[in-house]
Amino acid sequence: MAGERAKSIAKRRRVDRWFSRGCLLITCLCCALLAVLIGAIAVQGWKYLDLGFFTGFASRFPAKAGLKAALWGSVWVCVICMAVAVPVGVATAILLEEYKPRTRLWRHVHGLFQLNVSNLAGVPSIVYGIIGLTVFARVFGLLGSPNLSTYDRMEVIEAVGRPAPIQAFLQEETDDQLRLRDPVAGEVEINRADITSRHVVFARSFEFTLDDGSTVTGHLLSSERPSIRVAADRPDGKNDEVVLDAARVRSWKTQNMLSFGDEHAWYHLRLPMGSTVLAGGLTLALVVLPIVIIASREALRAVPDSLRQGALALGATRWQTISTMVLPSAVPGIMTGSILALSRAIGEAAPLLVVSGVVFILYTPRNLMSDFTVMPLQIFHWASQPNQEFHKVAATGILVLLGVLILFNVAAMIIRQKAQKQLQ
Amino acid sequence: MSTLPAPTAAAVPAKPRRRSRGLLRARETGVMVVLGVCGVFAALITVSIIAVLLVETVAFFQRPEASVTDFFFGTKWSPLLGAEKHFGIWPLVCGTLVVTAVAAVVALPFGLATAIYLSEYAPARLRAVLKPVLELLAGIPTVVYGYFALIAITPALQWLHDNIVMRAAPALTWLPEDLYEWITKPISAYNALGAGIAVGIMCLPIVSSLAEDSLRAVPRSLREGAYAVGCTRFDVSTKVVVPAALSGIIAAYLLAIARAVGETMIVALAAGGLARLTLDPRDEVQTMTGYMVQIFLGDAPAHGVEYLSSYAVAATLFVMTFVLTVIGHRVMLRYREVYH
Amino acid sequence: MNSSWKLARSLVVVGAISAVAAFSLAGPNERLTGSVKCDGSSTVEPITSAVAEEFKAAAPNVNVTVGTSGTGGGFQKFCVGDIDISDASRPIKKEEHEKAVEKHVEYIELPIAYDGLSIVVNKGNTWVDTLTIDEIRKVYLEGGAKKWSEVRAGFPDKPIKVYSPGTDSGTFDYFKEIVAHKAGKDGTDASIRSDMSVSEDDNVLVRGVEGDAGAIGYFGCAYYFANKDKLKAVSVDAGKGAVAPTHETIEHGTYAPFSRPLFIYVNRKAADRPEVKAFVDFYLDQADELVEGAGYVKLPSAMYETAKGIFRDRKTGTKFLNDKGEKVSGPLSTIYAH
Repeated sequence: MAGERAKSIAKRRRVDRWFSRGCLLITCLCCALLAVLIGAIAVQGWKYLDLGFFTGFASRFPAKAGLKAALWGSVWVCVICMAVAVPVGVATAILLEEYKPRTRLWRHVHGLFQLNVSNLAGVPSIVYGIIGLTVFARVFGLLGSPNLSTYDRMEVIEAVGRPAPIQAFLQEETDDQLRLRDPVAGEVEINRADITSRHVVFARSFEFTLDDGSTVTGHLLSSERPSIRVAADRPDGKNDEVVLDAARVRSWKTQNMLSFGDEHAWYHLRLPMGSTVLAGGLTLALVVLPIVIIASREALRAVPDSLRQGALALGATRWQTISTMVLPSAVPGIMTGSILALSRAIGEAAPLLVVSGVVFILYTPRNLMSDFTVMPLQIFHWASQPNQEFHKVAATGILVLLGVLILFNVAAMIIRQKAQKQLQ
Repeated sequence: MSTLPAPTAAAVPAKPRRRSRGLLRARETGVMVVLGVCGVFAALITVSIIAVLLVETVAFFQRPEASVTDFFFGTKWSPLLGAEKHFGIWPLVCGTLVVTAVAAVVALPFGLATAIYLSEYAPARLRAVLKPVLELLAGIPTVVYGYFALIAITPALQWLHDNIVMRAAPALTWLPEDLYEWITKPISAYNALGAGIAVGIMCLPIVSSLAEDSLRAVPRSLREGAYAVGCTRFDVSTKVVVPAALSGIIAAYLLAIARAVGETMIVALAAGGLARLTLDPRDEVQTMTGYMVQIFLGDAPAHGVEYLSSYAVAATLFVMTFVLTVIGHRVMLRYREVYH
Repeated sequence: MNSSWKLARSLVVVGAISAVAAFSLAGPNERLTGSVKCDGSSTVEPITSAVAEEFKAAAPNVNVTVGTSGTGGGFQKFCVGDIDISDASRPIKKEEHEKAVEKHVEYIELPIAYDGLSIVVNKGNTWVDTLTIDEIRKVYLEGGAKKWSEVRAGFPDKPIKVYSPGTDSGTFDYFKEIVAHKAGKDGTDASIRSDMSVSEDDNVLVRGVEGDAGAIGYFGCAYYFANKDKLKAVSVDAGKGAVAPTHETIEHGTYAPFSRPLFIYVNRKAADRPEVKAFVDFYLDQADELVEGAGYVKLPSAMYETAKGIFRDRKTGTKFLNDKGEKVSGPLSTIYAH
């Protein structure tokens, strides 16, 4: 009897040992997988990892191909993404955590809200891409085409000795002169020294007033003096081609694409914005917003209630309590969450693939309205090249991306540890 | 409310400023408004997702080539090829399900085993090492997993097929011809199996971290009770802790599956582009997300019926993941209620 | 040997280009700003990307972007004026031309290179060396062969796995034109089978065929030349004996009917913008060098002169549709003779 019991205990111990070993094995396997993954990619990608890889643009020669455009594209997109997602996310988290509803109706709304946030976290990122494309890049198609090529790019120049600003097409630009073409008056030459202000507009349609007082509105087709060809708007939405005599045009004006700021300024804005850095950044902000909200809520929840009660007892208002007591103690948690959100943003490819497509880009973004590519997209592009050498370049790109991510993770970990010490 | 000038609790300013009550109240309201606007923005996202998908899906169904019955019951998806266009969602759903099933086979048991080890067995020091590694695994971009599936997993599978299945094949010739052919069927260069395994690896840390949370939430008293009556750790884990945390584990599973269903870059790189009704993971499949990538890489500006069809597919995908996450969160809330 | 040849070729191209670039740097392009948007065929993309890359040295402030939506996708954008330059691996179609007319988009059509379509099978495929056009039809038309034995008696009883470029690609259109045109019952057009693997990304096809013993696929010759060590090209017998795809057979037109010209289409109005004009001028100047570097076959130099003339005079419209909107076909030299 006793022997049997001992046997059964021994058997159970054995099962326990084996189970423990099995679990350990599986856990180690997961970690080994990470090593295999990084190892396999490092073996492939080591060859092209040099300084030139960071300073070069995409190229048809694998040895010359670099990540510069994608690297800066990622920086721009992620900065915009975080600039939007962190304030909005933290504010939403404060609203959900610190302003607990008191009436039944609000409690209901509050509950719905929480459900909403957790659902947003589960929406596939490619769906966000579709929303970003429709809402940000195209503005539902309400404001016309987002593509600049469909507009007439015109210079608006004010110069000494010209009473009215000149709006015309740039033909040629040399060190001391600009040669322009006015749609009606023809060639105009301006000395660069005389120019007092200069900016670019994108004209959607032209309105010509003729000498008999009638007007013709529509798309400019061409303007080779003496005739101006216009695709004139018809009430049914179609166009008729109309040829105007330039000599008969008394005045003209344009309807421009909605834009704000000088073309070269970083804050330059156009609507609809098209596949630009801003559209990409906003789309990514949608993707990471739920992550920021959830992380910030956790951080706020971890702040001991005694702190709040103490502040309130001293007569602080709710916002004073939040801004001076709760937020400062939640900052490390919020920062950790934000860094994790940032590392998600930097690795996301699917939504940006929908918004920007995969294109061959040879420049870094200059302002909010620049076309862009990001690291994961560039990697995807390289991995889809027929030439095997480019797969190695893709692996090099992955190494850089992983390097950045590991850096972020380490930063998040350090912040978390410091914060824990502080709380203790 | 006190009529005293409100002192800031922690950092008392050097010069206490007097503020009228009205000003304070105005600021309180202002803050509320700003916070409210941000909250409304978050809510608007959901509204706009639903609105955009709904409007474009309705536009899709209004096209003569598309019909609702065909979409939900058709078994042929060929929007780009053939004499006649077919929009039956099932081949795409099938592709998604096969990939998800493979991913689930990888992620669910392995994720749970990892969670049990971390929560019940691992010494604190080991845990401090393993946790960050798993977090890192969770943070790897999906395009990297896709690349990995392409250069490592699929070749490994093909090697296994050539060196194990085909070596064993001569010994299996006595099997019925159909079965023999099924067993020795080669693995396509693009296949659901490789992609599914990669998706599974991606989901594994999600399962393990969520499941571990729920395992750790089981009160110590339950474990101590079990130890007191002579249970081993194995007994405690499998007969006490896991059943007690079951709802949390199920929630973790559901959320991970939702992630797998919506995964895009891995399947775009590794699963292929052939939409067909198959349940064999060795075949090339096209998932719902894979189709969307095909369309948006191809001709995004066209407002043709193929373009609109991607919205209908997106709507289907959204509904699927929505249902999974709602159930997942409901289940998760329940386990929280039990132990908090 | 292959790689050293590639290296030598790249070196020649690099050398030639740096000489040109050094010359162009002194030019007026440095001051140009603005952007040039190109999109379209993934077959033409390597050439346009190469031109863009070299153009960057000449005009560092012009932003050139090159997308790969496929010829059809590119034309869809081009014909409503969304892009400045459309890369095309086939001439513009009647419907696309009509769309452009309706939207008042005028365009300039410029041939830039030759390409061949190579039909490829797996390296381990020992049975196929040559296929006739009829046999190719058996593989690619609707209701086509499921096993190799159905293609030709004597082929093994192995399943056949069919790969094809995406329907947005000019490659697909061109192939369809040859294989499906009037191949159906009573001389109607047949349709291409729908149960095949389709990808806009030619690399997917290379990998697919490489990894499957029973696979067959087709794509632009450049992809075959770049992957010669992995795939086996099938010679095509169009009634005049088997011809394999090589630079020579494509340039001389003996690799019929699977060799084709490649084009860029330039928006007439965009061509007035100095940066677009400079880019296209640069393109036509450099094409003969860069085309070879990208793995295609260059046009005779007289053809490039013709193209420069067309662009200089801003001759709009296509040579591939006659006044009645019917399709014109034939070798480039006869089409552009007048």
